[in-house]
Amino acid sequence: MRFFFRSRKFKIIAGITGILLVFVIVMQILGSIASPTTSILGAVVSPIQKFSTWLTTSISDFNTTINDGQALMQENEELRAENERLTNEVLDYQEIKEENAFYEEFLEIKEQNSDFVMEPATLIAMDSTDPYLGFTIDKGLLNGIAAGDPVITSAGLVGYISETAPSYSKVTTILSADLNIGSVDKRTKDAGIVSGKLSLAEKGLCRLYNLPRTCSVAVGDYVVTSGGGVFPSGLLIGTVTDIKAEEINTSVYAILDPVVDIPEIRDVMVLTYFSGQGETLPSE
Amino acid sequence: MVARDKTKNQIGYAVFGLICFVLYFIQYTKGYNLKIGNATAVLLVPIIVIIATFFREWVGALFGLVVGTLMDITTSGSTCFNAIALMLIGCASGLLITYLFNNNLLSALFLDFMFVFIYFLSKWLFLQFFSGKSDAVQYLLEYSLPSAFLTFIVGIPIYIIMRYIMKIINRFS
Repeated sequence: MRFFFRSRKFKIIAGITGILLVFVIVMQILGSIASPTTSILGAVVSPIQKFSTWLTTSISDFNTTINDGQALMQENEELRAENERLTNEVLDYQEIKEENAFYEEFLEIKEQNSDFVMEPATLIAMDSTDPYLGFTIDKGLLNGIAAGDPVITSAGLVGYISETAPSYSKVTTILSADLNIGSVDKRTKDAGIVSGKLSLAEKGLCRLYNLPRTCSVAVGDYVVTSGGGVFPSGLLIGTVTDIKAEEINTSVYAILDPVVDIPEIRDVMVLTYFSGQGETLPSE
Repeated sequence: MVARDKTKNQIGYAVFGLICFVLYFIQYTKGYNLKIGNATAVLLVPIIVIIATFFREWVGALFGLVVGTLMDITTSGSTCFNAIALMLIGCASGLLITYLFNNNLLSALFLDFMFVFIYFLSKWLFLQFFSGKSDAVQYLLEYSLPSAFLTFIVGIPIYIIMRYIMKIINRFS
């Protein structure tokens, strides 16, 4: 083994480790930009990831279609063929309809917020080891997306861009403990901070904390972003499902059920610009 | 004989490279469900250990570097962590099998167990504990350790399958 440590191979491996460690340090200083190695490989891999996600979704949709059609197949072969043809047409139609509905919903948001500049993006990979359900989208620096940009659906806030590369970006969701969003109760105007917690993320929930004990927040209230820098004001985050007292101080916190069903996300919009957009990251 | 070994190795690299690539997409495509409770099996860690036991330290490190970089594309907040960790795991597995262990099922399982736990513990240490995450201990107990155990268990059939593939490659080249 001593021979190995004196060999050129060992020096190469040690050199690569050193370079990668330098990348880690530089990326920590620059913040939220993917390393050159992952950026290059990411440019190659992103289209394939997009394809594999599309394939999985299509197989799942197709499975449902086939199961529906099996009863007809047993009754009549002709009807089955006809049914499949029609189903395929319906699927195409539904796809177009869904796409239209997706853009229509955002059109409404765009009409209400004329300052929003939005970039549509599609989920291409989900980190199955991340309990906070972070995911990767198919757009990056080349599409004008920058670290810290808010990510939304027509329902409300999903999270923010935590890392960008030329052809892809990573999204940190509102379930994550890394995220702190200034928020208010829409009804009572009580202000707090929305953040995730591991035990809540398991149930798909997050929390609004730092609320004074005298606040009037109630179950069923809607919580929206308060705005100022990182997120525009008025983006819907979730509804209050429970209110609990903090153990370490006198404040209370509300448990929120996010309006966006994060495990079911397929398409999102990235807010690349809105008036009042600041430069600080949500985690700072 | 040397030319035959070279061909055999090249076929092996291609086949195992393809397996890594396919497993990567399975692992990170939405809908992946090799999960039990909070535990998620990370298929690519045992694969690197197994490849290193077949092709030794240099190839193990190279496969670890490429697969780790791929994993860094999709893992949140892990700038180069997977690339470094898997490259070192691949290299260390290859070295141990060359200089210390016999290349058999038992030693492969031992290496799989050891490096899977080292991977998950170091990931927890660098990405959770040293980052000062408030839920770090809970994360270790509820996610890291169960995932390490599940990954090790899943690594056993993967080893048997890959050993079989290696035998086929040896027979036909």
